Amino acid sequence: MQRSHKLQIGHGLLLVAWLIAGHDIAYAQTAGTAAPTTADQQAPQQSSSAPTPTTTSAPKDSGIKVDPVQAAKTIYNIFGKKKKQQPPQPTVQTAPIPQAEIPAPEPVAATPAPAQVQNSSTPKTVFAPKPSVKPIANSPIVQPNKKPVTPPSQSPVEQNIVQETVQQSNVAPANSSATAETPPTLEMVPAEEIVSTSINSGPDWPWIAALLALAALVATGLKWFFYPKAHLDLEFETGDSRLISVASPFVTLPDATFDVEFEWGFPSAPNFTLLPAGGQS
Amino acid sequence: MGFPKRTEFHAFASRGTIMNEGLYVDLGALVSQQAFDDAAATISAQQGEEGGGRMKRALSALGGSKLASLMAEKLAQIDLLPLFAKAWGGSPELRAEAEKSAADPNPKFVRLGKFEQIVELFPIVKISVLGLTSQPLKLSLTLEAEFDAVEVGLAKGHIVEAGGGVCQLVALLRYGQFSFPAGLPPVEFKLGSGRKFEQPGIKITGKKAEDSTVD
Repeated sequence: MQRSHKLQIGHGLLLVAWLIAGHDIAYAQTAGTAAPTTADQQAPQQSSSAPTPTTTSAPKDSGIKVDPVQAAKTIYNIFGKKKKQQPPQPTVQTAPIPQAEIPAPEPVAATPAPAQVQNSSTPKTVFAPKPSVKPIANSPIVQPNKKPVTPPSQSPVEQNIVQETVQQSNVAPANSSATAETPPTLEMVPAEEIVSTSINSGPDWPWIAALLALAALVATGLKWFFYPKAHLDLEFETGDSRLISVASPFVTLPDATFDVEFEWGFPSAPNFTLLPAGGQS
Repeated sequence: MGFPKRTEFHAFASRGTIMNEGLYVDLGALVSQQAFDDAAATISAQQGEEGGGRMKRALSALGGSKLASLMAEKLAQIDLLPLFAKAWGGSPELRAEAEKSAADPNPKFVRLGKFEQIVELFPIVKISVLGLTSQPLKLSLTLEAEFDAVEVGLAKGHIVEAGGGVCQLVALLRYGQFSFPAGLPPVEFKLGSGRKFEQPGIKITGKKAEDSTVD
């Protein structure tokens, strides 16, 4: 009975582990699709230099395809003892959008919008904002007090452009016709931030605790459901009243049934005299 | 000659005498409730020490009233008259009368004088829990009877009929070495107009009649 009980608990824990792994793989799918977006945002910087021909195999066509390496690392980070920030995956960092898919930043017309501040010495290189794109939650880019992480190769001019773009993303565009067809190239989030965010800020641990508690509850219920009968039988046979102490308080045991049978011995020999029938003694 | 008419006993019945065709007794009239309660408590304590906890709990659920009702229900189905009559053949006088009537196909009736007799019954209580049955608990119920003016019919060396007269009974309930006095006065039972035993009847022998037929 003890052994089967342990097996039941083991099965329950295995089920919980499987559920957790499935959940995190699904979560990793989301992170894996988000990573190319980061690369997309870095694409304008790299595209200006020399895009690699291999980047034409864009990760966008992967859709919801799971990156096994990313999923495995995510699971490792969850079950591992120490969480580390994973370095950005090469596939994520070197996956720019093809040049043809991401149009180059269109220069704004010579007449600047009132909200725009021309800090650059080249007024024709101001990026137009896209009003439909909102900043990613928890992203350091959208925090006004945080300095966005920029590659060291960025020039001061490009940094200004990025900052202005972020500021303008919250401002309605003055000239919507000029920015209506602008692709979503406004946010630039490093891959490290995306990966670390998906690991650190995810609601995984509460889920794990809840599932473990559920598994323990199920195991306890199974124990209480199956345990008392066997132990009561054993107690009844061996007379060991300690076995009853492990029985479930929720199981209603059937009442005892009683049966009485009579046996008798041979009566004592009487000592009497015979009287005439109908007479008095 | 023969057994008195049934109507002659109605006066006795109105005075508290229990009427019976055979000898069916009400145990509640013989053993007090206090005696049953004491017996149940003693059984529970004894079995609790010897047996398991479940047995103890089951016996605690037994209780005096439960034990009394169980025993009374069964005892009420037992005719005690043939049980006592099995030993009547031990009387040399009755055996002599039986030998005289051996060739006569018609029953010969004789009346027995007052006599005392004791028979011991053993109520065996079995407790079942979850399909398992405990070791039977064997109690003892000793019945002390005083018969007076009982008429018996003899035929072919057997007692074929008995009735009339009265029987006073007292009972003592025991469990092991413990006794539980009834604390009640004797109960008088009026035997009916005649209890006919199943053929060929109760064999009259000078020893224990194991082969006697008792229905």
